Amino acid sequence: MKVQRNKRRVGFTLVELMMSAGCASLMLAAVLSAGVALQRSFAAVEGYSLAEGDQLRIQDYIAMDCRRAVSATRDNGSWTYSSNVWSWVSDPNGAATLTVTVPNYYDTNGNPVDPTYNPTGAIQYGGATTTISYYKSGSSFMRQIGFDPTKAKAIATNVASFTVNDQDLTSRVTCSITFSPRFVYLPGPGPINGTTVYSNTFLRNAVARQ
Amino acid sequence: MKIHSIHRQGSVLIIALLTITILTMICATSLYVTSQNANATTQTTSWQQALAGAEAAVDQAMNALNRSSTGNAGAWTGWYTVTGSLPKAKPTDNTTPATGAPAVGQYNYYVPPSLSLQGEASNTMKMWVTVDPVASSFATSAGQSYRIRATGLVGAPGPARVSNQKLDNDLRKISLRFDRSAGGTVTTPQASRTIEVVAQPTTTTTSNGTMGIVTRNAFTVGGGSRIDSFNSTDKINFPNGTYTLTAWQAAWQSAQTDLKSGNSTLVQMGTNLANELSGGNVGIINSTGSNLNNGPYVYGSLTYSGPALKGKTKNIYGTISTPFNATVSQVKAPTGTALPLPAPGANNAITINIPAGTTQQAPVLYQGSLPQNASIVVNSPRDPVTNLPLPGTAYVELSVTGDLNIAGNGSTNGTFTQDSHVNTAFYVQGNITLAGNSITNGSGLAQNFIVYGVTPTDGSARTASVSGNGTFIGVVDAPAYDISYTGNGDVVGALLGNTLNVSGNGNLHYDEALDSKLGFFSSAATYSYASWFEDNGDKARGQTF
Repeated sequence: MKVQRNKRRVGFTLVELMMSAGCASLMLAAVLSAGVALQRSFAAVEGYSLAEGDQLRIQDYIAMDCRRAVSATRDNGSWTYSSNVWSWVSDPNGAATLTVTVPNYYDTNGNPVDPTYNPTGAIQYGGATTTISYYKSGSSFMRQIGFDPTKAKAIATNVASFTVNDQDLTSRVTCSITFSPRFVYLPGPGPINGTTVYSNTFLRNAVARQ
Repeated sequence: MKIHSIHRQGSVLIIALLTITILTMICATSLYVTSQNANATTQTTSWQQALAGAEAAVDQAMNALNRSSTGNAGAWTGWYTVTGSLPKAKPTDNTTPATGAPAVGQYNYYVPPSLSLQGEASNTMKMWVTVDPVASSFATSAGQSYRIRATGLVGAPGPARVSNQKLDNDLRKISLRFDRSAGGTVTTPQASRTIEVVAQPTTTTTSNGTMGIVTRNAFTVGGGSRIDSFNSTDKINFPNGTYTLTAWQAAWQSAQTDLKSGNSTLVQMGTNLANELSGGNVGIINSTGSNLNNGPYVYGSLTYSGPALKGKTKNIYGTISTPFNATVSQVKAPTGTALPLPAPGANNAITINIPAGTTQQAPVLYQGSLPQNASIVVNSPRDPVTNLPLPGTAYVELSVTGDLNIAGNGSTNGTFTQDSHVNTAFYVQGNITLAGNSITNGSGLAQNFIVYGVTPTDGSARTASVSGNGTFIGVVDAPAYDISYTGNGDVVGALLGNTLNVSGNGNLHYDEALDSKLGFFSSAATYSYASWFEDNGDKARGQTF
């Protein structure tokens, strides 16, 4: 038996190969570019979403606590632990801290208590108060209930600065928080410096407003 | 046999499948993250909208309390009264429609209609609110306070999924499957926020609005009386702060000359002076039955509500306008520790020596009834060595449980004398009779002699009369009294009554120094916020603040 050798050779010419290779390269480059752009866009959107979430959260926290506060103070300093007690120590080089005082609305079981009038004619809940502090620690923004800083919780990240306006705090609190940019690649003008949000809240329980 | 095989290997399909798989995973991851972001945004939006709902419900409660306090019969329409402690979930007991503010041990509740929302978050906002008095002791001197607790409820569309923004979870407590505020389960995620407000009654008084005469009902004037104004602190035009017609006319002429001169400074001065002299304003809250007859000379404006005024208005220097929307402050007897009124001595004289240290905010208070023919003398504190009055003004309040009669010569009726350092405020529960020539107001200032007619709690009628031929320097603030002003004597001060009938030839000269001293009117809103608190605790998670 004689085996017929298939002598027919099918293939592309060199020109075809070069053209197809060129087209393929262009398509691959386009796909890669589009992919990179999409990823960049996704990263930008993700960064924006996270940043907006942080900004809204801080504003909502501060607004909620200021609205229910009976007083507010600002100072630079830190908490120090001495004689088994945490206490505030002022220090011009310390972190700018906003401290609001809110009524003790809850009993020890976490249930709301009834309001009463104190001897000066102001509303009180249980007769005591709780302090809530806000300050920047590293790049985190902290919310601290009470005096123990070890129990403070970060409520936002990527914070560059925190400023409480120097003003009479008996009736309102105005503060600003600047966030570092999360997505720094921007063509043209380059990365932005950051985003600053402002909060201006009246102290609804302050004596000055009654 | 020799077989030539051509080795062919295909990898394109594998590469293509691998590429598609990788791209699909990238897309799926991106979509998942984006979906989570959208979910977090929706939950944030719903949480913020819930606060608006809760505050809207508080407004409903404040509206009901304020309308109720002003006697509006429909104030609590749509509300229900329930006996028991405050609920955590939306109440449903609608067996007893509310007819008034709740008593201790009860609460009123209201479920406002749901609001339709336009947007990408929830499309409805629900809310409910309760009002309760907490306890009978939960009150101020103005009355019972109330606790308002309102909840706003907004759906959080999307899957029951915890936000990918983990830091949100301590703040925005979304009920995904478990109702965090009321307990039980929820079928779809929802955001709820609860705020608690304390509403306390307030008695807000305003100035008298530069009004010399105010009546709640009919104002009638028979003769050609004159109503004008001056300012007792204007010692340039009115030496010693004393009104005389000659001084007023000279000042008026001066003001008119200044106005005509065209000199801007003088015009300004003239304008001010003209205003000072033409502040004899009259306010009538309900003009039914009012009649100006031949037309008094009013150097001021007249404001009224109700039917058109009868009589001539041609002599009114200022404007005539309607309506006159105002709420007159009712007068209550002073509370606090009171000394008994001294017993009459010889010739029925009652002498009151005011102790040192009194202030306008802390006057000395006497209470009791007065005999018909008593003559009252009020002395300011004296220097023990010189027996001269101490500097400053001494304040005394005399709460008279019966009638006040100061319209005589001390034998058949009473007289009243106070030295120039005394400020006296009468609070009279009975009828009032005054005569200008029986009253010696040593300071010559109306602000130092005020007679308040206490509004009867039973709605019964009271009368007050100002008569005689002498000038009465003082104020009568008696919103429930029918006042008659007879005789030829003038009044330097102000009059407020239920009705006022001027039948003599007397004139009224309003002292604008009273602008900041009197509280003829009160604001309509009688409840204000005393406290505001958002309950963002989550007992199930052991969280409070």
